[in-house]
Amino acid sequence: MTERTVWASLVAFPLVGLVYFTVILTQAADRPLEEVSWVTPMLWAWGSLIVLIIVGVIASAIATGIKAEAAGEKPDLEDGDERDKLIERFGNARAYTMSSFGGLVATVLLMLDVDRFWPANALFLAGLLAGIVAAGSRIRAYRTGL
Amino acid sequence: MGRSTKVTNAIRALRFAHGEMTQAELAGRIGVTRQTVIAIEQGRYSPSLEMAFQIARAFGVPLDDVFQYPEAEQA
Repeated sequence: MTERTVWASLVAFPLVGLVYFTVILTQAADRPLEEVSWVTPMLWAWGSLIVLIIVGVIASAIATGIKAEAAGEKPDLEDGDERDKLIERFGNARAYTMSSFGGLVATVLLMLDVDRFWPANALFLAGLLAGIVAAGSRIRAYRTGL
Repeated sequence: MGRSTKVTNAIRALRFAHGEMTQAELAGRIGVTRQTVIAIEQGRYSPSLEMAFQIARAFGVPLDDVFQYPEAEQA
């Protein structure tokens, strides 16, 4: 994982979250949230997220390769180096906290026997926030140091 | 996170003393990205001991000639 991979995540996670929750809240305008169709939009959201990140990474790798070739330099290491790995682990640690909290909230909601819409969306939101937190903290580490 | 390391280095000076070696060339020699060389030069990243030795070896100098640590902080 390199900085450009992180940028792809930092763009994809909020974008997908924004579209997903816009779809859900638009449906909720004329019916209760528990009756909103969320399974298909959520599947689309996860699929789009994966595709967006892959496309972002590939596009960025191509652009970086072309730029390096034009400058007569060797392109940087695709898999990154020890600093990239350290920053990746740092981001994972931050994301773990957010994911754990989401899991806790979902568990409590299940204990309360609420409609499955709520725990499912709590987990989804926690996943999105974990992705944003991980990507944001990695970018900060790249920019200001470890 | 977000703090600069207390370790200082003379990589920039050593690069110029070695035929104006570019950051990309140094990165290629020690097997890291150019961004990592930039981060080390600017004090935003302390390399591992292994990488530090590789950098010193790339310049053919002892480790102390590349990296320094302030005396007052060692007490």
